[in-house]
Amino acid sequence: MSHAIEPVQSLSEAWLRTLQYTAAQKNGRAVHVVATVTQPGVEIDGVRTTIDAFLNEHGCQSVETVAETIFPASLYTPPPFDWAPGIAKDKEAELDEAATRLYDAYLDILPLVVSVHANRRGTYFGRMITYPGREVGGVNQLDARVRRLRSEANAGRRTNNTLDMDLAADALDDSFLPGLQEYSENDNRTRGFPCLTHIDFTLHEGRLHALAVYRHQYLVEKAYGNLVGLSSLMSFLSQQTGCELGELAMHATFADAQRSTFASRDIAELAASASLQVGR
Amino acid sequence: MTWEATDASLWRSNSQSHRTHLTSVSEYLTICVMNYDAPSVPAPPPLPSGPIPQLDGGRLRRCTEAELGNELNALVRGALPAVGLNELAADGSPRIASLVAVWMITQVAKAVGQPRLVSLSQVKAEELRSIAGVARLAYNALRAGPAQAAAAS
Repeated sequence: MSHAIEPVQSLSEAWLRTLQYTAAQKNGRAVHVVATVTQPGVEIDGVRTTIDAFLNEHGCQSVETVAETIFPASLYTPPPFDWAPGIAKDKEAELDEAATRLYDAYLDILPLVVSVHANRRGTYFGRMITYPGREVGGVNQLDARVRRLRSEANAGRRTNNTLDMDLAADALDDSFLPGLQEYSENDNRTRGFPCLTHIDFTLHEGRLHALAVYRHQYLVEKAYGNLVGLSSLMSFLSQQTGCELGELAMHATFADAQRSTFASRDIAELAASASLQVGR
Repeated sequence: MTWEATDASLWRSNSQSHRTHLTSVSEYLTICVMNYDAPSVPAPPPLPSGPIPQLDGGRLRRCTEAELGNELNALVRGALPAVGLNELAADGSPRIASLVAVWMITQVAKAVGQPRLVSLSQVKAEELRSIAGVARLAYNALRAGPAQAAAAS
């Protein structure tokens, strides 16, 4: 049965409440769980440290490593200003240069990254900037959305619901830009990458909102990093297009508290420790 | 309850147009929270001016492991100024994100003309957590030579 977690300001609370809800369901699993962060990027002090300690203890990737699969913030040097309609050409060029350096830096490392067996199908950010993601020279979906959102702003349009159409094949059509497509239409695999299948954007009254759809959300290992990465992605788009940062929703069509990977007691202790931080 | 901002919100806070948003109360129902104090956030580092620094392949081959670490440190500071190198890893060198480590390995590989200098699938995660770890990895790969590097990939 579907369940919407009450919208909260921080991604830390969104993660915690989603984990607590799902862990309380039969077998620690639930369908159609939606979490909403009203201020993407904001975290509660100490929660990430708690999760990282847990992940490190269990030999899992850190929050930062997971986050950078969605948006490699380490490779982006943001200029200290936003794009705006009528911005000076040199300022616009500076923003473009920062984005290009990000894309180039990632494309530089992509061959090495996909040489790892786990990444053989590509990476999330790779799919965003060179779809279908394994090789340089694919479609840069992210840049196309920057151009479209700037175009909307230049035209004085502050609401655009065509950005939120969710049709796989249209992801590659330059004339029509739905959400970022992460799932290839000829991909018939039932497990593994990509768990994040689609990122949907809606521009409403000048604010850019996002919805990420996960076909399988691993709430202990991945969800917190996913929220951080999606927040960074939104921030990048927001800076590059001058849109205000809207809300971030994460829809796990299948939410998994990972009882088959971690002991229930350990999951409960992790949630309790994080809860203490949130409650401070 | 206290707040910390991720890199994402730090970028936003430096934008005049978003300060109001980040310091305002959400229109949605939330628990009682203290908002993040945007104006106190320091400005981000400036964009690197001019071309991205390049490594000299010939010099890298002659470097000691420590010298290689210095080269990598300078490279990151020049090309990726947003990467903070203030936090130290267990080995005493600057802690880095694994993605930055992969980027550094790629730059060394390009500089010496050996795209498969390092086989990432054979690298331990700990080696990708610090500049010294990457320097050690690159130093050993350079000493191993192209044939061994290709065989390992």
